[in-house]
Amino acid sequence: MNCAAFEKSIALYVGNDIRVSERRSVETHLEGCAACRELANDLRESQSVFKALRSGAVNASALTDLRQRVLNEVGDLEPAPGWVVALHRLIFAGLRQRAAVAGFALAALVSGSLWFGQPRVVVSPAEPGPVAIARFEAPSAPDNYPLSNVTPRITTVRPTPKHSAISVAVSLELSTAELPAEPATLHTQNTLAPMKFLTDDPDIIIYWLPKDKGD
Amino acid sequence: MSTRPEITLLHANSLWMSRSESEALLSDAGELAGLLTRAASGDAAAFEQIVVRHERRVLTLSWRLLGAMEDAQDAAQEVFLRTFKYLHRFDVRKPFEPWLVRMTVNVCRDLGRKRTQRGIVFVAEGDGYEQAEQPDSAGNPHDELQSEQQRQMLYRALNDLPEKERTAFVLRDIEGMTTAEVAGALGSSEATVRSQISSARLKIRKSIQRIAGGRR
Repeated sequence: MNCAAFEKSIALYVGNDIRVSERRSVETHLEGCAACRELANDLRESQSVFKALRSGAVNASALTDLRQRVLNEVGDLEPAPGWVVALHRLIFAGLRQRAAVAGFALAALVSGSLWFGQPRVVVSPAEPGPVAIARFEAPSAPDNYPLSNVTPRITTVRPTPKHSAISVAVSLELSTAELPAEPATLHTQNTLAPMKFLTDDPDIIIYWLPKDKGD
Repeated sequence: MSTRPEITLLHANSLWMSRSESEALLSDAGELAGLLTRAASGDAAAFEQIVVRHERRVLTLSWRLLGAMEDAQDAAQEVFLRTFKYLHRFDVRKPFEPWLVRMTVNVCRDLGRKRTQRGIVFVAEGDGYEQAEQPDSAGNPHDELQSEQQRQMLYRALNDLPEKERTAFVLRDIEGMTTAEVAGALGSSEATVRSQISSARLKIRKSIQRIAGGRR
């Protein structure tokens, strides 16, 4: 540290206000730094002037004047009623510490009862999760059918408070733009086949039964 | 063989001294508690006794904080009127003087703010204040003059300090209170007080150097 960093510590050191942990480092610095020693000496000299001021006192006439003024004013003041004095004495002299302890105990009791009394949400492993993810199982298709063109769109619907079951809406979009012209019959057959969707919940199985609009 | 009885005698003597001192303190504290209780109930004679016991401390502190005897008297009067008004709130089992010092600091702070708003600053007049004779300067006019000059320079330097630093400095270095007592009186932490005192000491040194340099 440089001298500027020590200035404040030296100012405390000369008045014996420094922490014990800092004292040693200040003393070590003072041993090797003449400028800081000069600062410390100046501050010590000021300290002796301040101490000399302690012995100074206000003169007797100023005190007499003050006392007279105070007693004149006090004579005009009404003292606090007896019951106010008694109440304050009870509160400030007797009840305050007990009230603090009682207040702390009450706060602990109330917070404890609130903590243990609040409703708990118990998550059972048997219950389904909040979101179900549907898996698409396509029926077996011929080797030459471009299954990559089949894009399932799965939308999950949040459960309502009344019905906790999760609805899964699934639509299957077939992109016909890139479908080969042949085999056309095969394409029709495949798209009309019933499809089965499995969800994470084993109790929910979705069957998609396409309706042939042509028939 | 001859040293042991002397040590025993010295030890017994110091024990007797400390016991009598503590008994005197306890007796004094008990007496003050009685006066406070009676004064809180409206006993004017008891309150006068309290004023007589503490007027010097309150007026001196007010003068040191405000710098002018007229303002100090106004502040001290206000302190004792507030004491009379709120004495029923004071717990007589606790020491009275810290409570009184705290009130004095608050009153002087309020008065100082009002004075600053009116454009008046710390003036450090010598009226109504007398410097006790110093053993080392007694009978030596040169030393007395130097001491008086130092005092004047110090009060001028005090004038330049911010209000909080000046209050902390006066309480610690002139009133001689401990850092903990100053912190209690100002309602702040000891660390804050240490910082204020350190800053004030350095600023006062610089101010004194500047004032002394200007005189030369």
